[in-house]
Amino acid sequence: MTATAVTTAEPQLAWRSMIRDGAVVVGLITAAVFIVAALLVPNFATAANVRALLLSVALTGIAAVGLSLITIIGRIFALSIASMIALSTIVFAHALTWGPWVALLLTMAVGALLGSSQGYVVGFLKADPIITTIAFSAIVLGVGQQWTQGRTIVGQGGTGLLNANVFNVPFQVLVFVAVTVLVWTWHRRGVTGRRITLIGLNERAAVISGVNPAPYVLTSFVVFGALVGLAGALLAAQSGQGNVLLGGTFGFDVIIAVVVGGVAVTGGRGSPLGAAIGGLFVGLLGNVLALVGLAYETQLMVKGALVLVAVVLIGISDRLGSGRK
Amino acid sequence: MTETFLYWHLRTLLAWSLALIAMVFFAATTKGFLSLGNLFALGQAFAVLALVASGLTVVMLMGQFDLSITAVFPLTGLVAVKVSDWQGPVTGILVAMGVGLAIGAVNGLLTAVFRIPSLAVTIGTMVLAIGVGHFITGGELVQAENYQFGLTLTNPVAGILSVQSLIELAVVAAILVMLGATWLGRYVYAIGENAERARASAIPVRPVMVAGFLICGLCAALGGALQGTALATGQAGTNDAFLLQAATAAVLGGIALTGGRGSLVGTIGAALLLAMISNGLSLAGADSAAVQLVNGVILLAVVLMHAPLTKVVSLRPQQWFSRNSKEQNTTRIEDSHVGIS
Repeated sequence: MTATAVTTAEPQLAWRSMIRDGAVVVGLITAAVFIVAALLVPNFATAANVRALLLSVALTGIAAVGLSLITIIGRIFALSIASMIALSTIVFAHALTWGPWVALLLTMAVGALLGSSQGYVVGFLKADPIITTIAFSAIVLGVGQQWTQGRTIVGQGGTGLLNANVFNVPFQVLVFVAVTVLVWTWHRRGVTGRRITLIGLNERAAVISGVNPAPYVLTSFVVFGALVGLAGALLAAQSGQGNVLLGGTFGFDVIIAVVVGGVAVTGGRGSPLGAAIGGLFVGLLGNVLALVGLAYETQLMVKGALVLVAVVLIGISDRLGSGRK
Repeated sequence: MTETFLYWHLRTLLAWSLALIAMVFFAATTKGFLSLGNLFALGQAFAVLALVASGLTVVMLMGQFDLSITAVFPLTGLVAVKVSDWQGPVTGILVAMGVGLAIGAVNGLLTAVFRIPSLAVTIGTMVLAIGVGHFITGGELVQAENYQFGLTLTNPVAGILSVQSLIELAVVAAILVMLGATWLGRYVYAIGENAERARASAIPVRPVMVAGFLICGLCAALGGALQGTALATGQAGTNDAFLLQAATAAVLGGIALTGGRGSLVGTIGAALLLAMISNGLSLAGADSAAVQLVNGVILLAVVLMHAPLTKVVSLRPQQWFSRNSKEQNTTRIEDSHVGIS
């Protein structure tokens, strides 16, 4: 009796959880847009354009994979991304004299350090993540400004593989794919990753079952910081330069990628893979809109509308989901 | 209860004491700080900051946050400039206020009706507002042909005030009255304290929440429009330094991030403090990045001292082992989120 009930319920449940999984939905939409664009938009399905598209997405995607952990653990967003990217480009450009790989590792270490200090304040001191990261954003940008005095730092030395192609694929795209797979597997299979989702879903339940949220918040912020450092280093490698203005609109693009990728701002729902696909989708949309001939200004408006729609849809599906339980 | 009550009053007092100390410090160390011209500049900076921070305070008292003001402020400035060349400056400011109300309405409706976290909603409207700004200007600096009205706005009144700052301070006073002496204000506090309980007490949670976001949007729009008109220029994008200042003013002024606690009087004191610090540091020759660095350090310091202070105040020794303190401990776990109602 019960066995039949379980077997009939299971496929339905799997179907529903697939619909509710933002990564699957965004992935399908992304694939659909890609196919439609390949058929209808001239110059889209060329190797050069696809390579440019992937390259434009890679850095946003790397940072979005990092940010998704903070969102999943229920600490909403970090608003310090743009500043951290800017400082990372400066660190990388300075350290380039010791070779590209040392510079890359050093930049990631600085990023992890910045991430860990924010994670400590948010996790152990239980401070508000938004306010904390706004404060850090100002401090990091201020330090970068004082350090460079507003000048562009030109790196001394070649960037080697960091800005090259491997079998016609940009190395940065390979890094993006590797990072996504690694972090996704770690989040999905690892104990730490599972606990991050548990804390985001129900923090009180996590505490009662003996999981102290603070170290996990710290871990999420450290991974986030290291990945933002990585993105910043790769950005600097593209031009061999570092500058406080290089962060630009990076911070918003990363947050948009996470939101569009189906990671719920309330925590616990979504995955790093979703954030990566979200980044791909936003980049794809920008690319198609540009090829169709829409100005950059219009693209920005479309992005804003997209975020609102994504947020509303996830909010509604969240409410429907919890209402049925 | 009484201890925590006292604590939130102390926060207001703290903000004003710090402002007083900063004033004495700059008056003693920085030449020209007390000159009439500088006090006028200080008044201008203070009024617009107090206005935008007041709007943010209303939203924060409900346990929500509005990130979109960082984009609404520049957007309404350029809308006012753009429209004023075509329909006159007063229409320009009114249209800009309409834009602010519209964005506030979207924020409020999506947050209240769909119960989506306000941070997610306002980050969407923020990107939208940046896009609209770039769309209107084509990414270029907008300049007004007729800057006479802007000069009138900033004409000194009684030495240190101007028409602009008088309008802004009048709105701040109106919000002060609204929060302190009207049902709407009581409702705002009740929703911030506990939205479910407020709903159960038949408080119209959704309309009040929409009203709060409308007020916040209106404050940012009025501030942006007056600033744009006064400077006769506008540029699309975000004003992160301004959001930082407004958020710092509210948090330093003692507005609890979880909502329901704190006083607008504290926010105003903190706005005065921040305006003086920016002004004094600039007078002493620091650049804007250094001022922003100092602002960031202040905000971080407030965030860091908040948790220990609340703990000390809310847990008296005789309560340590009572049921009451346990309750407070568990609720604090929930309180570490902001913006989720």
